[in-house]
Amino acid sequence: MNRSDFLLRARAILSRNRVEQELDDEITAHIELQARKHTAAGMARDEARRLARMEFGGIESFREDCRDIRGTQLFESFFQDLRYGFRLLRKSPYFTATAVVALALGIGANTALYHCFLNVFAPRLPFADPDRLVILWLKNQQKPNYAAVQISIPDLLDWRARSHSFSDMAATTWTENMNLGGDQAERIRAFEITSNMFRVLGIRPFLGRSFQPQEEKTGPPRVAILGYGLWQKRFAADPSILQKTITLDGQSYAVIGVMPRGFDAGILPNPDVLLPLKLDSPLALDRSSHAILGYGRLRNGVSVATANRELQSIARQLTAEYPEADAGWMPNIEKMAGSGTKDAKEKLPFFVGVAVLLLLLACANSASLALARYMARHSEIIVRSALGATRRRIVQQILAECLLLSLGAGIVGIAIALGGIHLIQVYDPFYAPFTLPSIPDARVLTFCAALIAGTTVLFGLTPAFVASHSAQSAHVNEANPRSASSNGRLRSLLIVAEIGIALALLIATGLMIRSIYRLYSVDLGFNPDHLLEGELVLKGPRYASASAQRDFFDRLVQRVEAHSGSAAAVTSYFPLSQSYGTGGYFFKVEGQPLETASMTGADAVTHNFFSLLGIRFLRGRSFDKHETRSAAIINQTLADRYWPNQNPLGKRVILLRAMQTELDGLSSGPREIIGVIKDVSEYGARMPKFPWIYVPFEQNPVPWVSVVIRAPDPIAASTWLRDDVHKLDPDIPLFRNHTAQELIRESLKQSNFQLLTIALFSAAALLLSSIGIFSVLAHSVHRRWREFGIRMALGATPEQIRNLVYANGLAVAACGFVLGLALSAVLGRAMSSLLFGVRPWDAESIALALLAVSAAIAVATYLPARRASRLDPTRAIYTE
Amino acid sequence: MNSSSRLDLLQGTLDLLILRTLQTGPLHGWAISERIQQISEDVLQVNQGSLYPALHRLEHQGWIKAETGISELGRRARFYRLTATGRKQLEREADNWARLAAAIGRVLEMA
Repeated sequence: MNRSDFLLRARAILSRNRVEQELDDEITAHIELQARKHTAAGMARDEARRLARMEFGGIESFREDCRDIRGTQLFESFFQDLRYGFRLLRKSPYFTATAVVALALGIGANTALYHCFLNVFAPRLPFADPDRLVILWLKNQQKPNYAAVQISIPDLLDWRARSHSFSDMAATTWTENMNLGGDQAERIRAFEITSNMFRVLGIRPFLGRSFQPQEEKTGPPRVAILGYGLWQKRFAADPSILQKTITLDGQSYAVIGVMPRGFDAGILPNPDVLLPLKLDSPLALDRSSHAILGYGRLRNGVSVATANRELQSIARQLTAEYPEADAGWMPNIEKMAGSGTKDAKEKLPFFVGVAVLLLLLACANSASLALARYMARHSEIIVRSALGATRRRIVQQILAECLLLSLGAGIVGIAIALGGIHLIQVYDPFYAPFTLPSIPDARVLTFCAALIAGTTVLFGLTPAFVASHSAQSAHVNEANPRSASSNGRLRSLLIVAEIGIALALLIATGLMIRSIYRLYSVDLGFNPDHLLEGELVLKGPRYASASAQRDFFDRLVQRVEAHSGSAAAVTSYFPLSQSYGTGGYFFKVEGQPLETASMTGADAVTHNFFSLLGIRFLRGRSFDKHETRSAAIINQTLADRYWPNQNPLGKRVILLRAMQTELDGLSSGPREIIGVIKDVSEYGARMPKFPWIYVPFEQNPVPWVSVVIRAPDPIAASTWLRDDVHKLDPDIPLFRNHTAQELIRESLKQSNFQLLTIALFSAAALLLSSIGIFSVLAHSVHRRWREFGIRMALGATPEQIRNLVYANGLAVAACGFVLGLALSAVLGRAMSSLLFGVRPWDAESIALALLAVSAAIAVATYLPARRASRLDPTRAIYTE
Repeated sequence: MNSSSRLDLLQGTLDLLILRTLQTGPLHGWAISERIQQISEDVLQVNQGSLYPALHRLEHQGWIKAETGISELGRRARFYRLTATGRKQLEREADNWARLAAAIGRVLEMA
């Protein structure tokens, strides 16, 4: 296409009328000149004109030829089709509404899921050149399947010094909550970062400056950077914040900067405060304490594999130099953009599968309804074809109509997608390393546009081809029986697909319902009724010693028990609370070698903890109020693991170091087992049972605890509980105040979300397929009207006619069931990670689903069948 | 009347004739068809249904250019004139035609 061609085409589109007019003028001029030639030769004027006209030939087809040359025909006719299609759609509002809503659900669901998918697997990180950023982990060489762990500061410093693949490395500590003092004590999230962190990430503070190397130490002067959100909320975006100080854990910090808005490094989700990493603390100098998370920026041109190899060879050197600390750990680099995708990889395929099924179902439904419509417009299409419309043109017109439907569905679908995204943000169905943005970006919108085009083709092509094909072969006044029946078969096929999908989705819903029921009925090992817990952390120089902590909690418990009249307990970790209390510990039996040590959960609890929570003792007894011996209580899982079929009472065990030393740990030293309890579900109903050990709080006070009471009115109780803590020390806030029931619900949040989505989708699917089968049967009855009339005239009873229709519906339904069962097998396997205590092939769920679909089909079939049985034979025979 | 097949046969040659006719100066559509008819002594009668599409095609190729002028009737009409690329195309096509005619002639004489 060269320049003049392009210009002419553009002109033909933009000034279409003028171009047509010019052509008309040319034709007129030509004919006039020809006529004049004839009159000059002696013919009469009228004769001459007529002759000239005839010589010219067919003007309209000639105009078409010229238009073809112009090549803009497609474009112009397309707009025409759109306008026509719009008018037609307005005239049948039910069809339009059904199709648009169904397609919108499918498009919306898929768009929302794609948004999630992008956010997990290809997030847009707010950093400079995010592709060069990596996270540094350590992997255990003997246990390569274990999750990667954090690294130690001395190792990081050595890696940084000795490697060439990185332009720089920075570090942060894992999340740590602190008490923000002031008139309203608040619990906030604080992270420690190295002074080069902002530089490595490639961002600048919103206000003020970042830390400097000389500030990376313990002791004054203490400086802090505020998070953007905290600055807005708590300090009302005070512009003079840089001259102020804040109190954290009883210490005073000068504010030197504010973070930029939307700072979300995934691994550091929205910190409230940033502090400098203390490079001179004992933690920082201990090579074996894996306290920090490492970040690196690769140099240009260095691949992850190269950097990995280099770091591993450096690590081998370090292992030779420091064998006790580094033996058995190998560095492992992961691109920041690709981290944390494992959970999503497991859970996302199921949701995507369900959403795709829904879209396919919507397309099948719309195609089927559209087919019916075009069969009704049969005569119109025949006339068109007779007037010269090519087959391509007819297909084009129908596709234009379908495109309008898809566009409408797309717009509604985007609204649905936004709602879906909001739901996902609330329910958190799978772990996402970065916060899900509320507004989808351009990539998602492109995907949505592609979906719209795809659905147009998917559901529009079949009716279009069928309609244009039938146009070639029939007379205007006759409904072509052959083509109509093949259309009917096609529609039935589509309905079979719909019923199959609906059945599969319903079975999935049934499975989810049973799973959730099982989850709710799991015996958690304690009695959650009216149980209330609140967390608090004693921080600051005032509570540095164990006796100070014990003293505080003694007074608190006294106060609370006086207030409530019933017992109160203190524990370092309340079941299901997901608090950071104490982590896992290495544990071994006294006298056994070090290699037998394994991980166990550990808690410090007051003597009345077990009785307050209603935890059952299988052997032995609980702690005394003033336990003299160094005692411990273990749970059944731990007992079975070390002393299967034996009595563990009296055996002595040792708690070695903690897995991660964020907080003061439980002291090591031998302890005697004095009791075995029935397992408590510490992490939730879904999680397998963990070995757990309990030590007396009086012997081992820890600063981070949950206070537990049983109160008939939890709301009132939480208020005075907070007050009691405040009266003891106004700088210590009580946070995460929940009843046990709330925690149980929270732990089942994900499963509830899954149930919600599947139930929604299957309800939609059931509704659509009911409409579909109703429409197909109604149409088939209409088609066979005359046949029914003849049958009745020949002696068939109304019941027999009705049964004919029912049989028709039954046949379609049966095929649908077979397809549905096959589909549900596939879906069940995809779902298996979401199910609990239910096998994917569950007879009860299948039976119930079959019942539900059959009922819906029966209802949908009833009306057409009744209508058929009521017909008047004489009139039917003479109707078309 | 199956004008499309006649157009196929004549398409290449009609283009050549139009270009040649315009070589002497700009003309409007009717005049082109008249000129061809005159010069060929009525042997070649250009079908109007093919003429204007051919003109539009040549215009899209960039070999002729349309402009407005006054016709013999004293009214405004669309005149077509040869462009520089059109002249080159005319030379090429005329050349090809001559070679084609010569080759056909040789084959005919050979028998």
